[in-house]
Amino acid sequence: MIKLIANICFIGSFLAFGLGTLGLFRFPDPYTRMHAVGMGDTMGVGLIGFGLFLLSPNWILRIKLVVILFLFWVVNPTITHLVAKAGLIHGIYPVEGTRLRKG
Amino acid sequence: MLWILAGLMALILLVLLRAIIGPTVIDRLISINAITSKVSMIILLMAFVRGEYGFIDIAFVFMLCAFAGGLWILKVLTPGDWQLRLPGIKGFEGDREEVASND
Repeated sequence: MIKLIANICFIGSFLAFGLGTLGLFRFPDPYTRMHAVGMGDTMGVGLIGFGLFLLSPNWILRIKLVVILFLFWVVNPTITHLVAKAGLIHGIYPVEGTRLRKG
Repeated sequence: MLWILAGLMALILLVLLRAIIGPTVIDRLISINAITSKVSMIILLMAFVRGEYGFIDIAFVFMLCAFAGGLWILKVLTPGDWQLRLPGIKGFEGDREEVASND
Protein backbone atom coordinates (compact mmCIF):
# COMPACT_ATOMS: atom_id res chain seq x y z
CA MET A 1 0.00 0.00 0.00
CA ILE A 2 2.79 2.39 0.94
CA LYS A 3 4.71 1.40 -2.20
CA LEU A 4 1.60 2.09 -4.29
CA ILE A 5 1.24 5.60 -2.83
CA ALA A 6 4.96 6.23 -3.36
CA ASN A 7 4.71 5.13 -6.99
CA ILE A 8 1.74 7.46 -7.52
CA CYS A 9 3.86 10.27 -6.10
CA PHE A 10 6.70 9.37 -8.48
CA ILE A 11 4.32 9.37 -11.47
CA GLY A 12 3.07 12.81 -10.43
CA SER A 13 6.60 14.12 -10.06
CA PHE A 14 7.55 12.81 -13.47
CA LEU A 15 4.48 14.53 -14.94
CA ALA A 16 5.50 17.79 -13.23
CA PHE A 17 9.07 17.58 -14.52
CA GLY A 18 7.83 16.67 -18.01
CA LEU A 19 5.36 19.55 -18.12
CA GLY A 20 8.12 21.93 -17.04
CA THR A 21 10.30 20.65 -19.87
CA LEU A 22 7.40 20.97 -22.32
CA GLY A 23 6.94 24.57 -21.22
CA LEU A 24 10.66 25.11 -21.73
CA PHE A 25 10.14 24.30 -25.41
CA ARG A 26 6.73 25.86 -26.06
CA PHE A 27 6.86 29.31 -24.50
CA PRO A 28 8.03 32.30 -26.56
CA ASP A 29 10.05 34.18 -23.96
CA PRO A 30 12.90 33.48 -21.48
CA TYR A 31 10.83 34.78 -18.57
CA THR A 32 7.81 32.60 -19.28
CA ARG A 33 10.11 29.60 -19.76
CA MET A 34 11.66 30.41 -16.41
CA HIS A 35 8.22 30.45 -14.80
CA ALA A 36 7.30 27.06 -16.26
CA VAL A 37 10.56 25.43 -15.19
CA GLY A 38 10.40 26.91 -11.69
CA MET A 39 6.87 25.67 -11.05
CA GLY A 40 7.55 22.21 -12.50
CA ASP A 41 10.77 21.67 -10.60
CA THR A 42 9.32 22.78 -7.28
CA MET A 43 6.30 20.47 -7.64
CA GLY A 44 8.38 17.52 -8.85
CA VAL A 45 10.93 17.81 -6.06
CA GLY A 46 8.15 18.03 -3.48
CA LEU A 47 6.43 14.90 -4.79
CA ILE A 48 9.68 12.89 -5.01
CA GLY A 49 10.52 13.97 -1.47
CA PHE A 50 7.09 12.87 -0.23
CA GLY A 51 7.42 9.49 -1.90
CA LEU A 52 10.86 8.88 -0.44
CA PHE A 53 9.56 10.09 2.93
CA LEU A 54 7.04 7.26 2.81
CA LEU A 55 9.67 4.72 1.75
CA SER A 56 12.41 5.65 4.21
CA PRO A 57 13.17 3.08 6.94
CA ASN A 58 14.05 5.25 9.94
CA TRP A 59 13.51 8.76 11.26
CA ILE A 60 16.97 10.20 10.64
CA LEU A 61 16.50 9.83 6.89
CA ARG A 62 13.06 11.43 7.14
CA ILE A 63 14.47 14.42 8.95
CA LYS A 64 17.21 14.73 6.32
CA LEU A 65 14.62 14.58 3.54
CA VAL A 66 12.51 17.30 5.18
CA VAL A 67 15.59 19.51 5.51
CA ILE A 68 16.46 18.98 1.82
CA LEU A 69 12.90 19.80 0.74
CA PHE A 70 12.76 22.93 2.87
CA LEU A 71 16.09 24.18 1.54
CA PHE A 72 15.08 23.43 -2.03
CA TRP A 73 11.84 25.33 -1.61
CA VAL A 74 13.82 28.29 -0.31
CA VAL A 75 16.63 28.15 -2.88
CA ASN A 76 14.76 27.50 -6.12
CA PRO A 77 12.39 30.55 -6.08
CA THR A 78 15.29 32.70 -4.90
CA ILE A 79 17.49 31.79 -7.81
CA THR A 80 14.59 32.10 -10.26
CA HIS A 81 13.93 35.62 -9.00
CA LEU A 82 17.61 36.54 -9.27
CA VAL A 83 17.89 35.15 -12.80
CA ALA A 84 14.85 37.18 -13.90
CA LYS A 85 16.27 40.34 -12.34
CA ALA A 86 19.69 39.73 -13.91
CA GLY A 87 18.04 39.23 -17.29
CA LEU A 88 16.22 42.55 -17.01
CA ILE A 89 19.44 44.29 -15.97
CA HIS A 90 21.41 42.56 -18.71
CA GLY A 91 18.98 43.95 -21.28
CA ILE A 92 16.99 40.95 -22.51
CA TYR A 93 13.56 42.17 -23.53
CA PRO A 94 10.35 40.31 -22.82
CA VAL A 95 7.91 39.34 -25.54
CA GLU A 96 5.75 41.97 -27.25
CA GLY A 97 2.72 43.08 -25.31
CA THR A 98 4.20 42.60 -21.84
CA ARG A 99 3.19 45.19 -19.29
CA LEU A 100 5.94 45.85 -16.77
CA ARG A 101 5.76 47.62 -13.48
CA LYS A 102 8.49 48.87 -11.23
CA GLY A 103 9.29 47.04 -8.03
CA MET B 1 11.68 2.82 -9.01
CA LEU B 2 14.25 2.51 -11.78
CA TRP B 3 11.90 3.84 -14.46
CA ILE B 4 11.83 7.31 -12.99
CA LEU B 5 15.64 7.37 -13.08
CA ALA B 6 15.50 6.64 -16.82
CA GLY B 7 12.73 9.23 -17.28
CA LEU B 8 14.68 11.92 -15.47
CA MET B 9 17.75 11.16 -17.59
CA ALA B 10 15.67 11.55 -20.78
CA LEU B 11 14.31 14.86 -19.47
CA ILE B 12 17.89 15.97 -18.75
CA LEU B 13 18.76 15.32 -22.41
CA LEU B 14 15.76 17.42 -23.54
CA VAL B 15 16.67 20.30 -21.22
CA LEU B 16 20.26 20.09 -22.46
CA LEU B 17 18.92 20.57 -25.99
CA ARG B 18 17.32 23.83 -24.84
CA ALA B 19 20.61 24.80 -23.21
CA ILE B 20 22.37 24.26 -26.54
CA ILE B 21 19.88 26.05 -28.82
CA GLY B 22 18.85 28.72 -26.32
CA PRO B 23 19.00 32.13 -27.97
CA THR B 24 19.77 34.13 -24.84
CA VAL B 25 22.01 33.58 -21.85
CA ILE B 26 18.99 33.41 -19.52
CA ASP B 27 17.75 30.30 -21.29
CA ARG B 28 21.06 28.62 -20.64
CA LEU B 29 21.01 29.65 -16.98
CA ILE B 30 17.52 28.30 -16.34
CA SER B 31 18.39 25.11 -18.23
CA ILE B 32 21.42 24.61 -16.00
CA ASN B 33 19.24 25.16 -12.93
CA ALA B 34 16.72 22.58 -14.15
CA ILE B 35 19.51 20.09 -14.88
CA THR B 36 21.02 20.49 -11.41
CA SER B 37 17.68 19.99 -9.69
CA LYS B 38 17.03 16.84 -11.74
CA VAL B 39 20.54 15.49 -11.04
CA SER B 40 20.02 16.13 -7.33
CA MET B 41 16.78 14.15 -7.45
CA ILE B 42 18.56 11.33 -9.32
CA ILE B 43 21.19 11.13 -6.57
CA LEU B 44 18.44 11.13 -3.94
CA LEU B 45 16.61 8.28 -5.68
CA MET B 46 19.87 6.38 -6.17
CA ALA B 47 20.40 6.42 -2.40
CA PHE B 48 17.12 4.56 -1.92
CA VAL B 49 17.60 2.19 -4.88
CA ARG B 50 21.07 1.05 -3.80
CA GLY B 51 20.41 1.20 -0.06
CA GLU B 52 23.41 3.45 0.56
CA TYR B 53 21.85 6.27 2.50
CA GLY B 54 24.98 8.42 2.57
CA PHE B 55 24.04 9.64 -0.89
CA ILE B 56 21.42 11.91 0.71
CA ASP B 57 24.18 14.13 2.06
CA ILE B 58 25.80 14.15 -1.38
CA ALA B 59 22.54 15.37 -2.92
CA PHE B 60 22.34 18.08 -0.26
CA VAL B 61 25.87 19.32 -0.95
CA PHE B 62 25.30 19.14 -4.72
CA MET B 63 22.19 21.30 -4.46
CA LEU B 64 23.94 23.93 -2.35
CA CYS B 65 26.98 24.00 -4.65
CA ALA B 66 24.66 24.47 -7.64
CA PHE B 67 23.03 27.42 -5.84
CA ALA B 68 26.42 29.02 -5.12
CA GLY B 69 27.56 28.46 -8.70
CA GLY B 70 24.40 30.02 -10.10
CA LEU B 71 24.86 33.06 -7.89
CA TRP B 72 28.45 33.40 -9.07
CA ILE B 73 27.43 33.19 -12.73
CA LEU B 74 24.81 35.90 -12.14
CA LYS B 75 27.39 38.12 -10.47
CA VAL B 76 29.76 37.73 -13.41
CA LEU B 77 26.91 38.35 -15.87
CA THR B 78 25.76 41.65 -14.38
CA PRO B 79 28.70 43.61 -12.98
CA GLY B 80 28.07 46.86 -11.20
CA ASP B 81 25.05 47.86 -9.25
CA TRP B 82 21.74 46.06 -9.35
CA GLN B 83 19.65 48.93 -10.66
CA LEU B 84 16.73 48.03 -12.83
CA ARG B 85 17.29 49.89 -16.05
CA LEU B 86 15.79 49.25 -19.44
CA PRO B 87 16.04 52.41 -21.54
CA GLY B 88 13.63 51.31 -24.26
CA ILE B 89 10.62 50.34 -22.17
CA LYS B 90 8.38 53.08 -20.87
CA GLY B 91 7.76 53.23 -17.16
CA PHE B 92 10.61 50.90 -16.29
CA GLU B 93 13.46 53.30 -15.72
CA GLY B 94 14.79 53.41 -12.20
CA ASP B 95 14.57 56.40 -9.98
CA ARG B 96 18.21 57.34 -10.43
CA GLU B 97 19.04 57.72 -14.09
CA GLU B 98 22.39 59.31 -13.37
CA VAL B 99 23.65 56.01 -11.94
CA ALA B 100 22.87 54.26 -15.20
CA SER B 101 25.40 56.31 -17.12
CA ASN B 102 28.36 55.20 -15.04
CA ASP B 103 29.13 52.11 -17.05
